[in-house]
Amino acid sequence: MSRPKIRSLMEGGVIALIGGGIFFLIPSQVEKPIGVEGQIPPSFLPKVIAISLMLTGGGLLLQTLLRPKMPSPSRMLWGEWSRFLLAAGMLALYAYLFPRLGFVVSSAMIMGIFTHLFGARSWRKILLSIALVPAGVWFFFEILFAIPLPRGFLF
Amino acid sequence: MLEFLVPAAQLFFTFTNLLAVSAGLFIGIIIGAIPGLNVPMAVALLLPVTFYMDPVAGLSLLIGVYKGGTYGGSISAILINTPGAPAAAATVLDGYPLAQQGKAGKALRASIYGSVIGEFISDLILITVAAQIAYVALKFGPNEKFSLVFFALSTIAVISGENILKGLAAGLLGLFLKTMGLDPITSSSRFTLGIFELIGGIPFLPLLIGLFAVSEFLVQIEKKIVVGQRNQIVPLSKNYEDNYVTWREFRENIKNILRSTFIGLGIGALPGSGSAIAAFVSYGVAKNASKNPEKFGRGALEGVFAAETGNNAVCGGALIPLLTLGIPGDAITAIMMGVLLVHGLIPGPDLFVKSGDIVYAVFIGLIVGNILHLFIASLGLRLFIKLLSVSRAFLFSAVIVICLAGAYTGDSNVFDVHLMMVFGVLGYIMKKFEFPVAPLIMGYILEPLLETSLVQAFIVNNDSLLPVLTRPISLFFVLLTVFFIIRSFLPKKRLGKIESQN
Repeated sequence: MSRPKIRSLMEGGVIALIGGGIFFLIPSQVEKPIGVEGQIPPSFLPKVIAISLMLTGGGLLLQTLLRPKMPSPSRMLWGEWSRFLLAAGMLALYAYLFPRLGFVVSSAMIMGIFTHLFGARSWRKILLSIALVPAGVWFFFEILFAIPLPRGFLF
Repeated sequence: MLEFLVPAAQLFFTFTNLLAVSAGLFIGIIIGAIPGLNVPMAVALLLPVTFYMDPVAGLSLLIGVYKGGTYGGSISAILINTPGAPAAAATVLDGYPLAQQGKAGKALRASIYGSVIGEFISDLILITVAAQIAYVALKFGPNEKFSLVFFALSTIAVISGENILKGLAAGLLGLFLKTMGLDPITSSSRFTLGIFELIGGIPFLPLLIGLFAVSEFLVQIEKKIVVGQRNQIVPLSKNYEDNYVTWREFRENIKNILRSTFIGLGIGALPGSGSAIAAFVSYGVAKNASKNPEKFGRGALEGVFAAETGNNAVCGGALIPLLTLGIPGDAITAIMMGVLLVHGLIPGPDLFVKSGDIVYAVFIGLIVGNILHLFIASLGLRLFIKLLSVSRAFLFSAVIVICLAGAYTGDSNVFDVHLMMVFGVLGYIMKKFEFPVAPLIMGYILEPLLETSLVQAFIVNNDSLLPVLTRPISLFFVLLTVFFIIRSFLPKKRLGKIESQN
């Protein structure tokens, strides 16, 4: 079986599994209301969605099996994966540091890393951007719109 | 209608609103011009700002971004052979060849005039028909509302792109995400996963910013960077005639412009059809109707006029279902619905009755916006061209900082920032596996309406849904649903034909 078909089968399988997972979790995750017999229960729409997802996943599987040939999707190279994983990790770090170091400090740090990751090499431009952008956004939200941003333990 | 005009004009004509429209257009043109940045991303990033503005200013800002962004894609399409927005994909076909012939300025001006005229006529028609449609929609009961929402959800099949089942899966996922939290009827908790912050459900802002902006950031960052790589921009000619559209050239294209406007308006009014479809259909029809079809694809000014008029005329059309029926026509109008809801304004026919002055103030904003669009696009052209050379490194890094601030400021809750990151990764995975993101947003937005109308229909019909099939208006929407599911196979073949001919 070709690689595109295997990938498409996996996609259908995952969708069906998500539907199945939702259906399985409904009894434990949906509270039963008291004293509202005869009305549509709160679990009705989630059940419909779960069953529809399972059917859609099944439809994707069937579609894959019935298609004689499938176009090859573009393959991700290891370099692209590593950049994505690094970026995702940096975003998680940003979310962690943001309330602790404050918006301006954490944004300046992370922006410096990302501009370098994107290929900027002029240190002057990088320093200028990490000084201006977080300060500008801070000014826009805190001063213009009076929406406070975290200051962290430093300020 | 007339009784609302004076209060609406008083409401709209303030410095803040005029500034909002102008700022929206300016930002939209820049966003549209730069490949990699897109209008849904810009609208998502500006949404938190609009929560702190009054509804007219907030909507004017977003509408400005929508119009400016749809036009802005033509700048990079003409100058660097890369459409800045999907809506400009047809503009490349003749815009770039014109630029190669030294007529980039002419192509850019044709794009401006086509865009503004298309928007203007489309907005006039919106203003004329909207009240009539809303008047009819006021008579809708729960059965009609349920079938209407069901029809809107079926158009997920139309906006899904290549694979209808993937679009359906994304839409169902959006429906599910909105069910998390408290049930709107009984207040029973659903899928809160033991997390206190999820009792209120998944908030709109982090979902939106994550799916549209953070995911795009991740897509861009995975691309290999060539240090020092810059866009090769075709320079403008020093010859006056090559930089402006003559009166004769404009007169020869009036029919083309009018035809493309009505194509764009009609396509925009259909839920799920976007600017890109309108641009290609307008281009194809213009080519078939042209006396010199062999010139298309080699620098025909008609091609640029047709594509740009068609894609911008969609904007007015897309607002028709949103304002009159409360059904967003595409992802961008789905986001605009958020602005209305935050200010306690429920889009739909009741809006014309309860808040007619606001609706007509927005309409005035649309017309004024078109005039401002002409001036901003013409006067700022050289600046926008210069901005094409700004490095992606600084642009996207700035975007992620704005994303975080935007997600946080919704509820001043760090949990929202974490949610934004999760949805950013989800959006990235969806894009890599070719699952469209827009249906997820549509499902999320329409779920409350679907669920409440379903429960109301059950109560009104004594625990039956049969009246949905027997009442004439709801039966009409059911038949329309069936039609759209079948139609969803057809336009792709036609579009494929138009594209392959070029």
